[in-house]
Amino acid sequence: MSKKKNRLGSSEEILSNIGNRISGQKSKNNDDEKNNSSNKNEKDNNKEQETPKSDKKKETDVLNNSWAVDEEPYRSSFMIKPDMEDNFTACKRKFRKELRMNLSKQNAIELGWLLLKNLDKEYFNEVKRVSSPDDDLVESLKEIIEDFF
Amino acid sequence: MAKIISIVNQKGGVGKTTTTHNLGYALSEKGNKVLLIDLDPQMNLSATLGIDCYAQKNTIFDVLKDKGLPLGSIIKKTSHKNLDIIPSAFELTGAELEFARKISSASLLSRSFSNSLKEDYDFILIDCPPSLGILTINALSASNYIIIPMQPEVYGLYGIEMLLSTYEEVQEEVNHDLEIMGVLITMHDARLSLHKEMTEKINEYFKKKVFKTIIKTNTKLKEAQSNNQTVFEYDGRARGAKNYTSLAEEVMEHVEKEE
Repeated sequence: MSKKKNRLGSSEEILSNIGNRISGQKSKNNDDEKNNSSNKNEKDNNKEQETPKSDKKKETDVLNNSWAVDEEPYRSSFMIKPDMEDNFTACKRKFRKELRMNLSKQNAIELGWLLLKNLDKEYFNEVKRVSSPDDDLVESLKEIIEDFF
Repeated sequence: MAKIISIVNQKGGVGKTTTTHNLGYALSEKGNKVLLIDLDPQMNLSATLGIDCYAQKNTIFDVLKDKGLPLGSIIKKTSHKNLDIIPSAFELTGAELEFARKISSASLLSRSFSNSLKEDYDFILIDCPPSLGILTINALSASNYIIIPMQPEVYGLYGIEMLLSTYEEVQEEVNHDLEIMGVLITMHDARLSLHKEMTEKINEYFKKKVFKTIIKTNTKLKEAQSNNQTVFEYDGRARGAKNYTSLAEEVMEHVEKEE
């Protein structure tokens, strides 16, 4: 007897979860949401006001990293970014290793940008000069970065 | 008043740009005035429409940075009379750094939309980058609806779970009216049993949140891109053209129902 293949595997469970989330989107109570979000905004504002005080010491430590001083900490799934903000030099080797790995295109673009931002404007201008809208930006960035190191 | 629709999925290669371009054209062919916004730093949509992004004096990046520059001032006409575009900019690659991911940076795009600009168009379609970064958040914050193109494959599903979290976050914090218009199945290959079964399940679980129209694999769509054209201009009889016409009708029907 032939047995029917399970082509979807665990997909059905994921589909069920997504379906529930998508279908439930309109059932929320808007007023409650607004109240919650305004409370949350207030909390966020308070947090934003508090954060600079507690981070003041840290900010003075990174004064040499001009681009990092004014930036709010931002979230990223990529581990190298917070490291780079605190200690760019120590991350160069790690960064170089990561570039050889299979980075997603967007991560590579963002990392490349971060690095270029820390270097000299002429490197960024070089990327602009040698690449066109049809080129693979990641490849252009990689070439420039590898040249630099 | 224009309906603003983001074409969004952080997975690359699912047909976001193809959908934005062809859906925009199909809507304009039906008499609508359409504005396309290319928020993807890869600039593919702009390049396809013959725009040299490097030659622009002011760009979308400048608009997002400088609150004084009106969005209307960077609109470019295309060869099609009802279809305009706001091109992408190379500098958008650094948007994550320039506009740190925080609530106040989420509305940079929506704040730049003037009422008169919205009055000028029936539809504004935003081609989002393949990430869930600040550009995508700005697109979602400015939109009335989102369309999620996806291939009927398991990797596409993982991406949608993550996208939904961002969608829920934006809806809760910034844009309470944001609505998922639907998931759009793209690159569907009817010869593959996996695609058939997955499509059946997507319809079963997503119910009304999936478009009836399915964008099937069609080489004419890719050939049209190579020629910097929509599939309508390249071969109006192609299956891809029929699929996008049908999608445009569904989108218009959805918007009319809501009104």
